[in-house]
Amino acid sequence: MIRSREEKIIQLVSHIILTGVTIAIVMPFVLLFISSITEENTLIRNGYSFIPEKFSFAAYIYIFNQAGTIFRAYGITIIVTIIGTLINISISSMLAYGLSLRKLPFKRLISFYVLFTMLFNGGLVPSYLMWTGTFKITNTIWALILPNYMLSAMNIILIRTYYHSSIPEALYEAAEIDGASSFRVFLNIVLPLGKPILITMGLFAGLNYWNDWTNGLYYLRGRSGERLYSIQNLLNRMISQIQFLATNSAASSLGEEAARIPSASVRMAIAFVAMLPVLCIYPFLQKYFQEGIAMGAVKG
Amino acid sequence: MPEVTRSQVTVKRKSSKAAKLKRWLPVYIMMAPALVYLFINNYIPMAGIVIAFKKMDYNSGIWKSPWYGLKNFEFLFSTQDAFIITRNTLLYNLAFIIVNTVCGILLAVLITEIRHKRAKKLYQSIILVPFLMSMVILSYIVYAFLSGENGFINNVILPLFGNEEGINWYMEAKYWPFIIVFVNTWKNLGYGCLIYIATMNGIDRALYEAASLDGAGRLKQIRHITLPSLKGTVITLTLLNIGRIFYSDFGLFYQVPQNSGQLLSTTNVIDTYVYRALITLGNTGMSAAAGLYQSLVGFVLILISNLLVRRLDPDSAIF
Amino acid sequence: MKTKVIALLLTVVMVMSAAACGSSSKEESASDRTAATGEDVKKEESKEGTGSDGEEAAATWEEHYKIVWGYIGNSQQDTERIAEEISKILEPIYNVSIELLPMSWGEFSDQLTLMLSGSEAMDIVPVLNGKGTSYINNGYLKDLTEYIDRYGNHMKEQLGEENVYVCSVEDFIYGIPTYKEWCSNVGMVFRKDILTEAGFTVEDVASIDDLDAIYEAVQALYPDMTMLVGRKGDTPGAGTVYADQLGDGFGVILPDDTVGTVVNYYETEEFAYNMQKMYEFAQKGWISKDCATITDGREAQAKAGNAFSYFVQPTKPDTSEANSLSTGYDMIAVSLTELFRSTSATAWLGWGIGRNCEDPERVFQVLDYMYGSPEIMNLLNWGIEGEHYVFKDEEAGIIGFPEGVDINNTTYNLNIGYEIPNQKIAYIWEGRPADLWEQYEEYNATDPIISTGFIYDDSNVSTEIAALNNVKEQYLDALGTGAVDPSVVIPKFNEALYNAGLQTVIDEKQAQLEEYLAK
Repeated sequence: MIRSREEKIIQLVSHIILTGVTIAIVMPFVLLFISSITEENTLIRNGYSFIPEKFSFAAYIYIFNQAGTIFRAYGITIIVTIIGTLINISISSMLAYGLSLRKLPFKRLISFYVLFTMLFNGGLVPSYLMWTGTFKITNTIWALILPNYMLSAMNIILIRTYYHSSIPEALYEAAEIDGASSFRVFLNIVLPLGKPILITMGLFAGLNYWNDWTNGLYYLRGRSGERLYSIQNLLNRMISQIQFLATNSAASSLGEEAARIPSASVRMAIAFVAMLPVLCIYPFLQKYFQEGIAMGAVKG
Repeated sequence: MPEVTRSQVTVKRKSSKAAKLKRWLPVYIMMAPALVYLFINNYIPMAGIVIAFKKMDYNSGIWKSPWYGLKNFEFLFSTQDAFIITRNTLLYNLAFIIVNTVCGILLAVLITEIRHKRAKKLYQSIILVPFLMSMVILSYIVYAFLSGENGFINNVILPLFGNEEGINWYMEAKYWPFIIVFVNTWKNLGYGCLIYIATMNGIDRALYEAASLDGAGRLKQIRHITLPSLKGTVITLTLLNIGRIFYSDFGLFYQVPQNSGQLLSTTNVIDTYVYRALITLGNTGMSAAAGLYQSLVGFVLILISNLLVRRLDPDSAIF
Repeated sequence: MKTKVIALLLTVVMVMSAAACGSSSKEESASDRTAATGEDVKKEESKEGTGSDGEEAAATWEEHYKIVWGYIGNSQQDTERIAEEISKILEPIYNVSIELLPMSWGEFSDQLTLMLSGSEAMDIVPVLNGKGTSYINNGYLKDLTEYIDRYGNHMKEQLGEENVYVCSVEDFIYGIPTYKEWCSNVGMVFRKDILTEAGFTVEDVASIDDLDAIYEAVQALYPDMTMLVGRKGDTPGAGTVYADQLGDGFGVILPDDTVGTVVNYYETEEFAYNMQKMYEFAQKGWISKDCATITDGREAQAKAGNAFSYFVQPTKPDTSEANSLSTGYDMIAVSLTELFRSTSATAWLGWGIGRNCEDPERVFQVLDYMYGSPEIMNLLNWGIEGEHYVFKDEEAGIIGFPEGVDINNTTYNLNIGYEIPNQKIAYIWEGRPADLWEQYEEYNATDPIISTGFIYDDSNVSTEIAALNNVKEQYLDALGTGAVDPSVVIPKFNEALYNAGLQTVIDEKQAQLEEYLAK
């Protein structure tokens, strides 16, 4: 390949800027990890630093002592994420496909219907009353899957835009002339060509599920609910416990209680442990991005 | 093209209504699950908007509680802070939209330009990593940098510039617009960026080859092929963000500044104001009123913007 | 445009129809629960005829009822077993079983609000001081007034008749208080070893003015240690406030007030003086620059070896021992002001009955029974004898961990004495004095002040409170950590407060207080 001087400069500049960005992104995570292996009292005395005075794995030892709870929470989170994301992507892509067709009757109406949900919100209490009263999801795994994250209007619109701009409708017409039904068209044309956006949206949907702690907070309670805690619920419980005791004057009676709560370093350790699985999966997902690129090349 | 008379067209339409249904029904069926979910998850609870106009008594339930007119909305406007929180909310969101779009496009272009396969993979993964860090944890990290006594900036960076005393970051409101925009970009850049990359990957390679044969250099190719292809996506994302323009990321404005009172003039937004106001009151009517206020403004703004976009580029409008 | 109008109309129609089915299904589920427990409440009411002593229930309770008891604390491995044991005691008498529902400190507020809004079972509800008014206004709780008169014998006996009624707002009694320390004052805790090293004793600390000399001496010995610590929300300045805050601190009653005039604490000389002191301390580096943003508690900072002293409110009979336990150092406490029996301490937690409770009379009688039952109190707080604790001194009622069990591997050790209905009939954990309850009785016999027992209803001034909360957040922490110059900021603070409607709130409180005192 002949590389012009212009191209070489672009490559160099790109690498420099992107390396800077990478460092800016990675640094906080490094700090997070280091503070999780910093000795507790050092952490409180000297604050967080890249080169702490004293190291200690006490936080991780504390966590491994609770390994049962934590592994269980991982399991729940993984199941919820996979199921939720799969459902999310299937129904989102089908809806977006419909909306991307130029001639669909009532298209504008339906688009508005979808968009409106992004703008108006009844609030927590009505949602809660409905999910617990009518659908009775309290203390079930559906409590973590159903509310809120199974669909996102923003994702639907973005997928639609992608279909619209990247897949020429001529392809649909050609397939229909050949006798394919709409569903076949969807399976054989839309899904493969839409891979980049679907993987991307799937990733976002999955991350939303992985990071969510509100569904657990609102719909799981008591001992039976605890068995269904996701890893974020676990972390959130610890952190908000600390925060509550820190900001409530009634807590002056609770000095002993506060002393029992996992320390600052354990907070960091749990946060790190919560991220780890996803960080490990990223490289594997890259493969699908590459495929998308390849598809785009072939399409021409 | 041969001329088609009006009557011919009309006849054609009337007779194909049944055919139309047959044609489109499968598509509607495919769209149904999502539409049903939206109905259940979003539309049914919308009925709860009435809470904003009621003095709630849960013993009577939502429907039988007494009406309260607009009184639940008073606290949003009767305060001197009303102007500050509205200003802050709007300005921050505008800044976020602009900064994130520009930086997102820039990074997306750079990443797609990289030829070294492994580096490209690395960069593409990296930009998503900040999503994994929750705002609470991020606030501790920011604290590690900005802490008065032990912070990285005060102890390491500033002395390099000759400032030995350090700045009491959590007490000085004027720095925080920059800090907050920076933190927000750090965390949320990946979202737009990845969508742009996906869109760019969908561009026909043939276009680039053709341009290259015509003698266009790389930069020209980017300007004339890549950027225009992003137009639709950028407009869509921006429109969607305008709809949320009265909402803020609570964690970003409450946890990251560590809820420090001295910073309120530049960090208090509508969501944090409402939270602080209601934390001792436990009044669902008032919080519903705040939510409704935010939704209405977003709704009006998005209608207006969508109309404008429809004039300029009909295909990019959302509806 | 036409499409949009149709869209809007359709949406409205959908929302309305959805609302219709939403509300009817809510009613359905409430009756579902009744059916599930197989209970007929009307039957019970006609059967009831116990009168004074709930223990020997003359009435036989035919229908079984499951009581859901929510409390704020950590869930433990054996929580369900303990619930079973408690049920075993209550079943023969009242035909009930108990389900314990632990809620953690960070989550209980959201969870309780949601559960009480909906149709879920929540019979015994923990109502923290400050939440009472809003729970009542939202309709979450049942009024206990008539139940106390008829069935509250153990409660009156154990808590003292006047204290039983303290959790009330304008004649609505929302809860029964717990037995704990009921007084307020301002105190300080010091590192005893360092204090002695510097040549001082606690007797040398009579007021905030005595601190200058001590801090100067100690800082010279330990240049890296922070003299006076606090954290955000609980600043040193906040620790010096000596008043009945009447809930939110917007308009207070000063402890030596015998008439009952609500004043603005932030305009008093005492406040200005104390904040000035904080400012001077901060200037001299005795208060950390980060004090307003630190999230680690005072005890945690002391445990890290970083702190010399901090304010505490209140000081109790065993404050020194308790702080020594939690920090690992030898700590000593001293009181800087007079003690007074306060509403906020007495009504700190009220056990209430939730609106969804289907048999409040029975639940109340069960609650009253618990106030007089050492077996249940011990089960709840400490667990099962032999398994979770053993006697160290049976006669004195002192207990500790069995062989091989400690705080890290025990399967049950709730230890929330201040939260259980009546901890003074339960055993004492080793490390605390055997005459602990005698000390508490003496402590709690302190005189009340004029506003003790008064909780005001803030529903008329919610708009003002909303604005005032924001003003408070803006200024109070900065003042309390000495980060800003009080002579400049206090006037600004007060101006902002009055602009937000402070006078309206003060007037409202004054009117309600006068009504309360007139009874």
